[in-house]
Amino acid sequence: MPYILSLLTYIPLAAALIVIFFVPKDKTRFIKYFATGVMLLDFILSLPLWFGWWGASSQAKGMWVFEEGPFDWIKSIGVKYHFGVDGMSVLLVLLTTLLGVLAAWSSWKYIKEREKEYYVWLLILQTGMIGVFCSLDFFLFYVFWEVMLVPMYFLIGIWGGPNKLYAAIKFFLYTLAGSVLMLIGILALYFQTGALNNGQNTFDLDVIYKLNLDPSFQWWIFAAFFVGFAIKVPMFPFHTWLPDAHVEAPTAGSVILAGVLLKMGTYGFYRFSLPILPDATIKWIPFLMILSIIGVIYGAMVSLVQKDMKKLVAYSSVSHLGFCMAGMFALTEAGIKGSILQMINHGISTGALFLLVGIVYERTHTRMIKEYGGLAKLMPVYAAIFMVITLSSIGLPGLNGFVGEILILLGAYHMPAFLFSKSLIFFLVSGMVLGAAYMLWMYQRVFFGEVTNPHLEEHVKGNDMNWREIGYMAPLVLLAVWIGLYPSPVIKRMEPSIKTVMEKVTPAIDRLREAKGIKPANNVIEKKEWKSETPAAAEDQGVAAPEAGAENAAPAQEHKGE
Amino acid sequence: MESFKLVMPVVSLSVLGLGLLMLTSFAKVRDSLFGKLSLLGTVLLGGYPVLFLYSRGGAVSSAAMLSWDSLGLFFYLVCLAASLAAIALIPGYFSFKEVPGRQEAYPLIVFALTGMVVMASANHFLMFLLGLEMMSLCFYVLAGILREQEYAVESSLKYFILGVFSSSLLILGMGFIYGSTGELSYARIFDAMLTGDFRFGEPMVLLGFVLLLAGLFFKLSLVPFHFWAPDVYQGAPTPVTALLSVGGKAAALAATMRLFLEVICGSELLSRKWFALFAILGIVTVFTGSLIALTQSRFKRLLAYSSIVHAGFLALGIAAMAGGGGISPKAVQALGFYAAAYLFMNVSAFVCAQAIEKRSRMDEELSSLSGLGSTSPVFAALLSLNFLSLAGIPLTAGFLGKFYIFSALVEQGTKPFYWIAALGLLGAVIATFYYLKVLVILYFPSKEQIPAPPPKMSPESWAVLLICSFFTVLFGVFPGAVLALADIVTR
Repeated sequence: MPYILSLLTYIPLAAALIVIFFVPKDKTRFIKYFATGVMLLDFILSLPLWFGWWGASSQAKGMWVFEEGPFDWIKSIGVKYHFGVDGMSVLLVLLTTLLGVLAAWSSWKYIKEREKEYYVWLLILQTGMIGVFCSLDFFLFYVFWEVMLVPMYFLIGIWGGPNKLYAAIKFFLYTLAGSVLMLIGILALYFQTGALNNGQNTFDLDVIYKLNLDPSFQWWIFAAFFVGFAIKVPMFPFHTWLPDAHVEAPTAGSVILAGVLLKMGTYGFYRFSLPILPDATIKWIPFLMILSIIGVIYGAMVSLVQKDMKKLVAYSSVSHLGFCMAGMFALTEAGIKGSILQMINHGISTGALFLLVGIVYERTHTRMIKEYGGLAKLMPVYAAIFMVITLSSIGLPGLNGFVGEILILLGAYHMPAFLFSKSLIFFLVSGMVLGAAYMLWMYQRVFFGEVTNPHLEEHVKGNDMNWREIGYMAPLVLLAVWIGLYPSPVIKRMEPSIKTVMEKVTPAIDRLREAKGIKPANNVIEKKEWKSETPAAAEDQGVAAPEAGAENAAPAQEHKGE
Repeated sequence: MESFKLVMPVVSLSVLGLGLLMLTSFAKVRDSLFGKLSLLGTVLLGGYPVLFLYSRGGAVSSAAMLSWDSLGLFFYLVCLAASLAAIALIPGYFSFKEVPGRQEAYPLIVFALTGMVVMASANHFLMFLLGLEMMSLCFYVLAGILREQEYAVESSLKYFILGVFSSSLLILGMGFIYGSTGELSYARIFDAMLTGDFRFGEPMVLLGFVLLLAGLFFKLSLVPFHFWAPDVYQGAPTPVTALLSVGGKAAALAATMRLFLEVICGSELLSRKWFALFAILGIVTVFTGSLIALTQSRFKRLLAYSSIVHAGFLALGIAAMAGGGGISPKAVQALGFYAAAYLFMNVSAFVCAQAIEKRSRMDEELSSLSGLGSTSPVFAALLSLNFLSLAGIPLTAGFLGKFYIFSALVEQGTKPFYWIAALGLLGAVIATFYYLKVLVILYFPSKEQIPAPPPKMSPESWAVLLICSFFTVLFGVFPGAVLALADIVTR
């Protein structure tokens, strides 16, 4: 289907405009169904991205699949409309469209006032998020990145909890402050592109990827990007907006914040910092790793002491995202694979946790752990689903979290020792242990024991999850199990993308190795590992192509062989 | 014919202004009709010269002391649009304030427009001074035209005293330059600067330019020359404030740009520390303006500080234009675009300010906006749109304006420019905070706040608001067409 990415991006916006102009405010039932229906349509339309992946003809030509453009948008300054995905962003697009459906569906009962505006903002937010992951033009990316703040600001500010104004403004200003600094980095890159592009500067990523930048220049650009992305991730000292925003946001807002918005930071590092600024990335590694470790441990420790379930889940995000960052900056294939997989996993399990907390909050209007206890007796189905998701978040083998974490640990182990100390693994593992501690302890306090709170019994007895709630939890539980048991379809899709990134990063690592005077002979094991990974990956590719069986892919494969 | 071409815009506008003045004295025309007549007259007699000159490729003459080049014509259009908005807004405003008569406001606006246009196009110090004074005198009167209202006289008097002071600085600067070079025409001073043979040495010329610029900074309301702005903005009738903040600033900006483009660019002086001057002033202005704006609780004073902040961004644009050892065409274009973007978003903001004013006061508390998001959704949506544009959120004109200015800064490619760009953008984040504050009041009213009455908008106000908002979005989404226009500036 041509222009499928644009279609995916603008369908929610078009629906939002229809609702604004043609649907009266009091037709709330219609608005709910319509918005959820549009989200579902968007999700169904995004499925060809998954199933049509190997048949996509453009894969052989370059790294972008389902590419659109580049068309001129603002010609005089070289801004292009350029859409496309690779194996990494396609997963995030699918995650976004899925969580969009669940977010709209889960809000039917939760949102009781100003429904029209609510669903309009939710739809516009969806457009912004898909646009961010599809943009291959830096300017376009920035536009989506910033525009998305406005709907989220309103979602938190109007339908949020008691302290919503503070949270909404903090969220907006933090992200804005990060992104304006990123803008300077973008502009600095932009003015380097003229020589590669017939004197016309451009924001097109295809051109920017070809830049060969001076390492000290890279260092500054990395600093500018770092602030923008690290706030979004959020990395340790920049994370303070997150608990506020998560706790105050309505359930659907939290799901989207955790599931998609946080991924934009990691996506930014992966898409821009690693391939464009490999030398700077390596110089920044000690700093990034220390912040990631602090994030992992600190996030987990703070989660341990939370009294509010939603806040606990929010802080657990800091810890999980620290994991993702550590995996990515291990700069090995396994680490990056694990990092991307962990992004998806975090979207699934943390999104699900927020939905679950929302379900019980709708009934009891409290999220304080101490008000609960013995919930398993009152809501058995709920308890079962909560258990699965808890285990997935902890990383129990057989569920999705495990695969991501083990890949990250593997990647950290293979990391060249001159980049960062191997003690990293120790800290990551202790983070995992702490993660199990806070999740299981919360589960124990909420679900086991006697029912101590009389109100609880009154509100939830015989009021277990209804079919709608089971309906929107089911896809997440199924995904958690599926990725846990059979992750290779997901991993295979991201492999070509990771390979292109590694092609940029590996020479930089080698340069640093030489500069440090470390002879490859001293690192026999590492070097061997390093080499052995490439043919193995190539074999994977070879296996993958016949599987696809498409007419287009086969000749291209032959061509590559020559 | 050639000489007629040169004076044609001035003649055309003066005829219009005098005609309207005659009409106020000798014919008893109803207020509403008079407003429509002025609007029509300004569209025809003010708009025709632009078309006429543009179709003939402009006209430049140092003998006539005027140059209707692309820069002049572009800022002519900006000032004309601001004046049209003010003329369209005034009838509704005066009838709401229950002040019949006062028809002299219309010719005064036309004369102010004449002044602005002359100021933007003058290439001779005398003509420049004439334009500046013509504009300022009209503004002094216009600011106090509703003299029964609270703050009106204060506003007018404050503006007059500080304005005269700034003019005298400016004239002193001109005197120094004249004393050193013996010339008043830009082209001749340019020649004299090339040889570098000054009667009293170069420092005297430099001092002259600094004093001259200080006078212009008053009109641009850069910190520390900004003290008049909040009081004057608050006390002047809102349509006049809109004109003052957009037209007056655009004219001063054009005059500053022309000084650099036609005089300073050819000399050693250009390599002086203009970058430091404008960059420091710009950053200080952006931060001071934003921080003070945070504490404001009145709509027009908030807008006054907001316009100070925007003047700071303009100063950063000038820093980019003159800072790199040559004139940066990108920065010239950026300044043109910014002026146009500022015109639309700021006029819209003032239309909204006017809509919530009370009969007996010249300004209104921000709380009069509370809850309008649900009671007057269209009004609130348009106000938010323009405020997001002022804050510089993408897909609006304000974002691209900032984008062009900062890309012109980054283009210079050295560390100081990067730092200034970073500081300026952080200032913009602080500025966003108070724009968001207004959105909060509109959409997230607290329980104890009484919902505000719906705003009072005349059909003309709606028209101005809708047109300006349309352009705010158009400039933000499809700037190509507009850039082609701003391109004319660099031609």
